Amino acid sequence: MYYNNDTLPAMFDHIDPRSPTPIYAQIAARVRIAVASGELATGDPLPSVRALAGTLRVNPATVVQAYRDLERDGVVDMRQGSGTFIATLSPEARGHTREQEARRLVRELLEQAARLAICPLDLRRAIDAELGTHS
Amino acid sequence: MTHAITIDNLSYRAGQHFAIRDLRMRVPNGSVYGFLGPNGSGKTTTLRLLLGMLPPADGTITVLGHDVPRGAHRALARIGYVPERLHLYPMLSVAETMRHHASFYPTWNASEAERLRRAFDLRDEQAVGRLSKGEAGKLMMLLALAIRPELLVLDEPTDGLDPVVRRDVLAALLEYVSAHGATVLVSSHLVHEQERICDWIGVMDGGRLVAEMPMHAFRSGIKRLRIAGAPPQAAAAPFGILARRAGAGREEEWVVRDWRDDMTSWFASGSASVREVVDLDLEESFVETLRAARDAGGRAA
Amino acid sequence: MFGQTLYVQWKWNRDFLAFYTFVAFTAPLVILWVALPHLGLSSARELVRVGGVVGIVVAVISVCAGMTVAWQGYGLDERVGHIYALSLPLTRTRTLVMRAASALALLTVPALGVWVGSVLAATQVTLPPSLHSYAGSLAGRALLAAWLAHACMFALRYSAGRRARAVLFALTLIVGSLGFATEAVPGARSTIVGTAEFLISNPGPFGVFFGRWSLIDV
Repeated sequence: MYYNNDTLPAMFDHIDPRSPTPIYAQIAARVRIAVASGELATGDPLPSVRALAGTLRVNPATVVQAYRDLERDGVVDMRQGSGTFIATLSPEARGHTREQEARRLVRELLEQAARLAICPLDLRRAIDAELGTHS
Repeated sequence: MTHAITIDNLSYRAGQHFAIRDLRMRVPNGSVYGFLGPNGSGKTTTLRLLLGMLPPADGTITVLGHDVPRGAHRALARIGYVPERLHLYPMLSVAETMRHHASFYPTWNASEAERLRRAFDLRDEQAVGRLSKGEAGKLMMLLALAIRPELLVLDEPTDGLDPVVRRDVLAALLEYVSAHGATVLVSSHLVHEQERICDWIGVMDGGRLVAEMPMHAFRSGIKRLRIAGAPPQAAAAPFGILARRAGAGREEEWVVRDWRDDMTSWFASGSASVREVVDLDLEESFVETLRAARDAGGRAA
Repeated sequence: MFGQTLYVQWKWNRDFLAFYTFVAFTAPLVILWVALPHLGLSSARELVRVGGVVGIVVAVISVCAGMTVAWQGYGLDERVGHIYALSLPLTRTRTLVMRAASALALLTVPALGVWVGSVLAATQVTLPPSLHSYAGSLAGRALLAAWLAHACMFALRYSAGRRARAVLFALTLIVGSLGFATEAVPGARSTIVGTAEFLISNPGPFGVFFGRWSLIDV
């Protein structure tokens, strides 16, 4: 085997190029969720651009864009020569990231609903129903 | 030099008819440029022309700053080429092939070549003529990458390969590109693969380039709209219309390009409404672009 | 680069080269071995005739070897569709020069076979004082003939298909019309015959094919 799938965290599985969300946004979202859930801690290294581009078989510029977005939002530090590492996040910042991620998910849901001509009221009712079933 | 490859007014005749006609192409430095097009559209011919293997009937080709075909031999020293079919001498072993190839390229990196050989699981003593399709594909990619090229020209590099080999070959390619910033021109009909790895797209049909733009622009700008009601005059639309078709009931289906979400308001001026805006993936965008180009050509003819 | 080109040409041609070398080596030995029981001790004329037979056989082998190597060398690229050779960073001239030079180097092997075989063959016979064996010059002739045959076939194979056919057609026309011209035009016969004689005798370019090829001679 040329590369070992086990060396990459499973969080990068199922990147979908056909989804309307650009690939770089999908990669960045995975990292954000992993950080918010505690799966990735401060100082943990992310795969190198080279390794991730090769393993996911995506354009390296896409990975660079994902990492840059994350750096801009303070989630990671890109250190010249050493790689990319999860930045120091305070618990408040971590919570803030969780909140940001949740809102992003809701935004996506609202956009999809709009495309299918489902009004926000129907959507809220559906959410309550689903949450009710799951709690 | 911002472009690795510049082609203007290229024409090529195969027998009586023009296989390539008036081709204009720009491949930016450092990009992964995907060449999409149906079989027979002239992709392989274009690749051979820009490598100096065929004589153009008209036009100019500049590759890595060299005029082709006159200076082709100089450009070829910095180009890694993977053709559609195995082109290597069948009676040589893997090791002999590598040694032979290395002697022509001063930039050959022996340790990298050896690393790739081991990673691709190719044995030194295997005869090239007896390699499986997957092994042959891996060896050709190895030779192309080991010379540390500035430009990679790949003609269907993963076609017919099983998923495991395809992954290995693409991974090696993208790792090299990430590390060295090389330009890649990859021709393939595997649209979903092109979607992942390319950041520029050139669509070829009938010997002409019918579309050339960054990948995100190609994908995000093309949408399928479900329109209900009487749409305003199509000629005045702020977006490009690729196709108009009848939909379900009294709806219409429009395929548009250069779409932005705020353009739904334009429909209101004609008492129409946009029921749905559907994102098209690369394959559908490609098919619609082709159809539109052919219809336009048909009407113009 | 040249070393690798030579290696590839050798590997592709080695079976043919082995065959021709073997035949070139054994031909003088076999011919003399077969002829010896029938020769009288003092039959100088018989010895020269046998030497001539060796010469003719060696000439044919050399020409075949030269043409085969040229044909095969091109055939290798023909088999893989020429793409590999065209993709290498070399001018066409350089490629052709290296191919031709490799072939010339490889063709020394059958010529060596001729030399060793002829030397050994000549030792089987006690030559009368009027005759000498010319193993060295026979081998030299063999090498030159192989090189010349290779050059002709090489030029034919490597020129563009249409051009080659045109050249062949023109040559056929010229040779054909020569026969006609000798009858039709008075005095043309001696000119044509004289030119032909010059071409095929020693100072002429094809002299190496038509001169004295005998292994044993005065």
